Amino acid sequence: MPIAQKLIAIILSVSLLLFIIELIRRRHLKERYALLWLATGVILLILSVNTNLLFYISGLLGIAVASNALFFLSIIFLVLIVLSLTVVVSSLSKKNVRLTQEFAILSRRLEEISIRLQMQDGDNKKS
Amino acid sequence: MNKKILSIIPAYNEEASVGKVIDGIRKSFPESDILVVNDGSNDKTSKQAREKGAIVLDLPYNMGIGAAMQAGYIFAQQNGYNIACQVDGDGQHCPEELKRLTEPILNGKSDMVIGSRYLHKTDFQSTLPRRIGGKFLSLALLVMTGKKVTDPTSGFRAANKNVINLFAAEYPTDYPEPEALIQLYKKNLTFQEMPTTMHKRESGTSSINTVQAIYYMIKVMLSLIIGMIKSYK
Repeated sequence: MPIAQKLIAIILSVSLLLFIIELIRRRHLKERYALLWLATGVILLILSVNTNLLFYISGLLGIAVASNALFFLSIIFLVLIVLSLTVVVSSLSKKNVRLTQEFAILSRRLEEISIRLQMQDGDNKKS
Repeated sequence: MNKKILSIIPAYNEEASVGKVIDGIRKSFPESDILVVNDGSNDKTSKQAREKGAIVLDLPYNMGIGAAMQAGYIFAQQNGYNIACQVDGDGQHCPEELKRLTEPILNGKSDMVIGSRYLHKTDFQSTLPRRIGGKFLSLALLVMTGKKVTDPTSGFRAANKNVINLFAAEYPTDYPEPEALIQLYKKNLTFQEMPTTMHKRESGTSSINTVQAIYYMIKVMLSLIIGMIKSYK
């Protein structure tokens, strides 16, 4: 692999890692999801530093061109990430529905109670 | 002991008809409390319902009939109702028939009763794609549950406490009426149909063309199949 390519790969994966760490530091990324992304960044870094590992893996998978092995692995990884995000969205939307229903019931209850209080107030003033 | 009965009216932009529906229920079924679940309407549905003296739940945005009905069932559960009915807000259903609908539940014969427009020949005329779609759905439910349901999408229903508790915990969102029947079947709760007459809708439009009907059928079928393989706690 040409040295320039290797350098670019290393720079990209280091910047990805730094970016992820920065996101965690600013609390833009929850710890739960941070671990997955940190692992991704580290694996990418390892593969760009040690290109022989990639050749070894593609050999194991019986893939002739090493970059194809990389594509294959990244697609699997992306599918898993998207799937897990859909699971998260489903769970969030379910919770959102529940929250909205409870909110509607509570705000009606609040309205009812405040009307009753007002009426009591009026009675007290009269007597 | 007197049973507490709640009529739930899910309403999305039904300002023209919701008042009449409330009046109808109050007149012909006075033993029932009336709850309007305003599903984020952009019109005066909520105001109309309040003026008619119904209990109103205002959902802050439109969430679909499934979520709206479930809000009603949660309310029924929290307030100790024994029976919850569902009546559409567009005036299609006859409130005079509510009492009859609740009878099998009061007698303990069924956990849920569904008002069917197709059980007897009535003057209600539906469009052809709708009728074919309905037949197809009935067939699918017959295969899945072994029960004959002539009008699986009917939103005219009455349910007892077991069903209220079940639906308060979990109610399907996308095409709730047919999928809820699968849920009952899987939970070993019983349901039966009862012939009802149905008016033409008083307001709003429900004109669906053939392509839309087919698309609807595919989506409902999918939701039924998913309902069959879903696990229920």
